[in-house]
Amino acid sequence: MTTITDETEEAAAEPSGPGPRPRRRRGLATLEHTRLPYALIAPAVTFMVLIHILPMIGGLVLSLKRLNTFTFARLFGAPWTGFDNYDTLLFDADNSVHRGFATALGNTVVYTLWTVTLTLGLGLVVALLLNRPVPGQRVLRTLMLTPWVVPSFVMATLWQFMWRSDVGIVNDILVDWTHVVDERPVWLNGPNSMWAIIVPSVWRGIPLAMLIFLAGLQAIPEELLEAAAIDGAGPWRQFRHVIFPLIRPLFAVQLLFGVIYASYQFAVPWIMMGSNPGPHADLLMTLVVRESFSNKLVGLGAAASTLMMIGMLVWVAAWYGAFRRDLEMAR
Amino acid sequence: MVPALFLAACGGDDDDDASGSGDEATTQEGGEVTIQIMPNGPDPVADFEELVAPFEDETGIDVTVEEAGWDVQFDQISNQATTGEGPDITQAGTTQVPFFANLGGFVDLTDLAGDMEGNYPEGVWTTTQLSGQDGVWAMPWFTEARAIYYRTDVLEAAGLDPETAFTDWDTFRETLQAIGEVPGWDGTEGWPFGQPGGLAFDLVHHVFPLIWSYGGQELNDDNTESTVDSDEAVEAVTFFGQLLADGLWDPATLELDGTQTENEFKNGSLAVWIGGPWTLASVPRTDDENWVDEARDNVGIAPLPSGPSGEAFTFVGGSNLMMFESSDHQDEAWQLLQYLSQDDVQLQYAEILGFFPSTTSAQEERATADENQAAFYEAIQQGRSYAPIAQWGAIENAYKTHFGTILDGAVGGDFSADSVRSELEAAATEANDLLAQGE
Amino acid sequence: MNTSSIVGGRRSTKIALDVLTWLVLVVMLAPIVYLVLASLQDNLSLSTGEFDLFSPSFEAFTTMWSRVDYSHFLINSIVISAGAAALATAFASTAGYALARFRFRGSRPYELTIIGTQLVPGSMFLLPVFLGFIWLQQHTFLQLQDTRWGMVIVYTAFFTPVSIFLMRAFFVAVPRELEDAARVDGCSHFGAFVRVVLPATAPGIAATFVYSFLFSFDEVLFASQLTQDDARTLPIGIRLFTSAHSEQYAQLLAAGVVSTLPIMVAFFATQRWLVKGLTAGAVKG
Repeated sequence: MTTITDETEEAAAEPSGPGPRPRRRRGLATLEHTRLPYALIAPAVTFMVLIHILPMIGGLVLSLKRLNTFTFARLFGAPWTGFDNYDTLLFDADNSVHRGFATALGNTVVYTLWTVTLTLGLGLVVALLLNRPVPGQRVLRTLMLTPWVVPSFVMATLWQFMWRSDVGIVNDILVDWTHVVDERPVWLNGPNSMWAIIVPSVWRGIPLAMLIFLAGLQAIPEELLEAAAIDGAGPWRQFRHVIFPLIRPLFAVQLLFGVIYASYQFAVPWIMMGSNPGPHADLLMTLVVRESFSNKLVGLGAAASTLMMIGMLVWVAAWYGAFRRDLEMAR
Repeated sequence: MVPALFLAACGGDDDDDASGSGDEATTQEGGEVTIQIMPNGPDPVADFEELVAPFEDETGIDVTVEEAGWDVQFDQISNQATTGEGPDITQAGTTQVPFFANLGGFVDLTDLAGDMEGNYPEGVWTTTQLSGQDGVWAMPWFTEARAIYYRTDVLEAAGLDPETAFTDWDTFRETLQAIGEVPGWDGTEGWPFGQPGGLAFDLVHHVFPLIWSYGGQELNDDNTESTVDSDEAVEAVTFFGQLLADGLWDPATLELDGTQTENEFKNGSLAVWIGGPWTLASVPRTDDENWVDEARDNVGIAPLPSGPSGEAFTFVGGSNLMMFESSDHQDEAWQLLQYLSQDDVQLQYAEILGFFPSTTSAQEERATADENQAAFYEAIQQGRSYAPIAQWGAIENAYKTHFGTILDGAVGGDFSADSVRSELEAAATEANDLLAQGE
Repeated sequence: MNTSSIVGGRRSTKIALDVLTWLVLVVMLAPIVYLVLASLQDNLSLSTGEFDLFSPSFEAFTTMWSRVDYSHFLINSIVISAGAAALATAFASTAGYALARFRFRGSRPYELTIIGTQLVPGSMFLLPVFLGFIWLQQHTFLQLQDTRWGMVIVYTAFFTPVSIFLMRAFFVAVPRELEDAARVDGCSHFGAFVRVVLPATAPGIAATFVYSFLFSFDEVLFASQLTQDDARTLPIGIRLFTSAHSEQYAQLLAAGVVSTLPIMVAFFATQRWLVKGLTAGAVKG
């Protein structure tokens, strides 16, 4: 490792020079110490290269190739097609995959907005509720985590059964028991199918959000709120000016990963509705999997994945701009 | 062990009626073969094991049966073919064979089965071919055609005569309306009609007979362009969807797949349904608990109605068996394929499950069994299928998706001749894109 | 902080909120209760929507094992998830420690790359890996498609990144003095790591293991394309069961109940540590 040796030499040569230099830890000079971190990260790095880095490059390569049922057998040796795949996906209004992509994109945005908003919002509400001396609080808190523990595929299968318009219990409750609606709505296809995937996702996401917010709430010192109360602030203002700013970093982190996770959702619609959830519930990932594996249009699938990745980078940049201060606070 | 060898060596002589019996497979003791089948009946694996028990005894080959549902089998087989990981033999829909053959990963059976062509009707043998390429890519297994199932008791209660209730599509519609007037059959306890939508792998097989009877076609004559958005097709599909919009068709069945909808007929929730011969065979099976008595005792079969073109059509399909190139047990696999192609075995499976055999002589024999079988046999002779081109498998999936969307829209209130047309135009575009891949 | 301090202490408010809290719990648990109750019915009743709460039938729980190769899928899921979780936790421990204690060249880009892997859609990895497995099988002796090893490798790579950050947070919380004391006693850096730091973070290790186990068990996308009969995991097994036996609702739901049990056990056995780990990771950033 020539780089580390250089550092060692520099450290030895300039033990305490003037000017801004990063603090050097003691012990950086010993050889074992300098090699150790690399040895420690080696296994993780190896796997990362094998399964993350190399495939990602492979994915970019595939996105520039024309793969279909006729050329699939050639694998990575399929014919080059330049940026045609991107062109088709983004601009070719007549192409069916383009239309599918546009639809799935719209659906994914809607799904993400609702799922993240409801999960974080309701998670916070439940955390606030649990953050009180309720009788049986510990039991409550543990039980409240249960939806998260149910595997996502079990949950999707269960909800698929519950959403059935004729015998499903959701409609039993809405129509027969509470008479909120007169006719039994259809959930598993048509315009309501978006809700058929949002609701279970939110249901399953609330426990974790609640957990994290609860931890944050409990870390807020009582005195701050008392001081605010003394200053005449009511519950809402206390929340807005004392509580929320302190849990904002938690909110920021969950927002970041919540959006990523929701945008890349695959299991819920795939299990509930099959490889084609229909024009109202088809998400980007179900589209990509369908086009790549059922139709063997792997090049288009890779191009779509690349576009999704770019979109996510844009999101992260935007998020960073908005929440940078919270990150620094948390450090 | 010696008798086993003896019998195996004599295996080729059993097909007395057949003009060819295929290549002699190398006989061996023991061995194993894995076959993947689809849900061909109420207890598919047990039924198949019963069927091959004699084969296992005779040859000493151990047969393992796996099951894959119809809505996942297409992707499954696709992956099995491309990755080389999977069973030795798989069942596949007759309309899927060209797609899989083109994808690669399957054994060309010409050397083994080339001389068996004469055993089969032409339409059946065509399903083993891939247009534009030589080769025999599958062995025919069983055949089926779709017909109308109805509840004789409900028809009677509605004052209808089965002979005239389904003559053409307009009469069909009137029949459903009349059934809707019978107490309980307006949706409160049962529905006049039910059919699965986009979740059924065979949706297109229900819709195309309609389109054909209106004079439409799935592709143009030389298979270079999709004609699913022609006026005739639009008219046909609009008619079909209108049944939903008018409340004659149970909207909940659109959330179900084919098997679940079949069970709605069996559990007495539907008066009329379009299905294949296997459901008829399950009527006398007491181990099939999905039937309620009033349904089980009152089943009637009628051919599909004719359309404005004056002709009636039905879809003739079925399943074939394909051998994977990656199989390590190709000898045993071929022996099993031969066994399953024997007339007596064909007839036996037909009796257990209700499908029609695929060999000519077995079909003719089956037709003499009873009235309903004769009716199905007639239907098969008049039946029609799709072009054996490589892209068809994917085109069929695309058509299925768009048909499903149209039907979903009919429930959701988003339905008109215009919406049907625009969705069919999208289907045609997608099919044309798929056709263009071959260039 | 206590929510009561901001909403006030009026008794009626307190009772109302208590009731609301329990109501929320009921709503959250209702689907699970329904799952269990429904698995105790039979198929015909479920297909027509009838429920008979008073004569439960455990038939579905016994027949489900023969209908589909459920035990095979369950074992695959457990073996693959445990294997991947073990490897991921091991790799994350060493890497997390490196990031927590050392400032070395490339540590910042490495951290960013780790975060970067979470931003990429799974399909971006899946498509090349799928093709890659085929290529390997055709050109080398390496058979990874539809093997437990193939899945373990893939899942290990997937869940190591977040595990690294989890472990790092745990290591940061361990006072440096512990290692210094060990070094004074003659341990090498690595020795101090193994003998002193790891034991001190045992709850964190357990939490990280369970996290990786849970997520591996749950994974659907890669399992759907990289497995066939040999290495098929539960989610895909159940999906195929739904497809092949779509009308056997009771068995399906029973399979759902049984699939939840290992996770429930793993979770509730370690929940204290897991909760601490997740919230510590979140709160500390």
